[in-house]
Amino acid sequence: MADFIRVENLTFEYVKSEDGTRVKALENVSLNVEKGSFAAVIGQNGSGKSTLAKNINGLLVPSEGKVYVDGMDTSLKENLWEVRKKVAMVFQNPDNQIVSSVVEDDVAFGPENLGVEPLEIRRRVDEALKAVEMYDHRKKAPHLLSGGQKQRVAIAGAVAMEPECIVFDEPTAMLDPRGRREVMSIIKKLNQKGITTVLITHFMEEAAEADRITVLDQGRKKLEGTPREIFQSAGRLLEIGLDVPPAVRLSMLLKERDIKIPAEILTEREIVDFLKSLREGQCQ
Amino acid sequence: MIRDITLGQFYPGSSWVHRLDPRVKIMVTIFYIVALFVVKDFLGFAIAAAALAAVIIISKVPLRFILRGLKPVFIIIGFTFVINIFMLDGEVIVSLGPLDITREGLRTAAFMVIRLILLIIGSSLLTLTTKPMNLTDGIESLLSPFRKIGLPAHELAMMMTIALRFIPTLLEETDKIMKAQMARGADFESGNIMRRARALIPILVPLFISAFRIAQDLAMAMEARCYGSGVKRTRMNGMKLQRRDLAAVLIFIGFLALIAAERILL
Repeated sequence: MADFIRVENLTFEYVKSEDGTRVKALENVSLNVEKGSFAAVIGQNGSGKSTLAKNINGLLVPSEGKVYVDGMDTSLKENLWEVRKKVAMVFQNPDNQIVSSVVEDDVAFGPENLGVEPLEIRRRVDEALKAVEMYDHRKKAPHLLSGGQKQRVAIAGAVAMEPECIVFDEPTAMLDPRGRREVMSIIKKLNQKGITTVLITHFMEEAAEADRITVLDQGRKKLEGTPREIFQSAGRLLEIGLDVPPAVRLSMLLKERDIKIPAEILTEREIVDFLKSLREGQCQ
Repeated sequence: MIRDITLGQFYPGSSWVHRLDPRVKIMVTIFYIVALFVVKDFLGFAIAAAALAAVIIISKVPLRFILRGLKPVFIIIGFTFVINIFMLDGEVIVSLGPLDITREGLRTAAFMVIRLILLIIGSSLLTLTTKPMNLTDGIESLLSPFRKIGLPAHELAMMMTIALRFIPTLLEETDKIMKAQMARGADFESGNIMRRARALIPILVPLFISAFRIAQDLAMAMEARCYGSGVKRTRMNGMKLQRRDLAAVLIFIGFLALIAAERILL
């Protein structure tokens, strides 16, 4: 499959306002995202993951290196709006990205900016609201909704632009556990519909849902691979300060006690099955 | 608590007045106010008041609701009345020491009060029967001809939309900051006016900072959604004049004609 997003040796510098020194938020990061796939980028605060997200749809432009979206160079002015049309973005704070005081008007904001015909906007808005299960709330004022609901409205706003890819920049960081579950299930659903998904997060269990994970630390790429591959280097994740799923943690501890445990164990289900088989083995 | 504040003073309903095009309502309100200043005698005011009463009845907004919103304004009206009574020269009716109440003064004062009351009720009826969002759309559309002379009609409307949208968000923010300061012993309720005003500083500074942060986030989110791409924007709910809007305009022209005739003929 073709790569939809190609990040090549991306370095992003910004000037600190206090003392004028240049700081590298990202250094020589490369990353490819296949069309239709689900990629996760995980890292601590200050790892540069949000900066990476903003480089993908031209909100920021690389200091060095290139970012290509569907073959288009994001640093060229003439590609800017075409890139943003293809790559929509959902931000961390649901309050600060909703423009209108009526849910459906807010969802219509993107398509209105693209100059879509009114009837077509209506269709897209209804469809987007149904996709995030907020259709019944379409006439409400956003400030009366819960955090999870607001974030779903923001997602609908992105979906209504009919992008090929959505970048989620820590969409669950400000939500309660229930809101997080709601938003994650919507993200997975959208990905299954064929929307290329990039999820920026610092929750390992969210990243574990992705096809591929990229681990960033202090602006550099530290690890890359499928969730299984990543968790096999659980020790390094802990060094960076990231959590690993409980099942992986447990198998790590068991391994330290010289219990032979298959490397590919990832979920609670798998570890329960393995421990059961171990006990049965002992009984015999 | 602070979240319960109602925005603007929209009274939800689906009456004939509610469903009128906001542009029609804005223009009618403006010309109604002009008419109030054309009128010079009691019959004229009676016609204007009757017209307003008819609109109130059709709109089904309870009179109580309208008047409740006007309470603070009545103090100003009373003040205007008192000043007007004493300020005009003419035939003296009552003498209170150095102050004289004249016939002319009484007449002018009474007219002024009637005019102000009709004006305020008339214009509040506009905001009572029109959603803030529709009002903004109406203003944008009415101002758009002035774009040619450089008036940023769309930008103004966008600013109003965003202001309306963020009032509850900023109120919540204020509430949060106040609670945080109170938890650390700040006292907003005691002391004289100066002390209380000074106590607001530790609220205003963080509030400003967070308002700027919100603005920055929002600008980025709007750009990510292709705002400002230069493509001509479309609207999902474009405004279209209906038959009832035409009817309203015709009825209102009838009203203006009546007021004009009364002024000229009587």
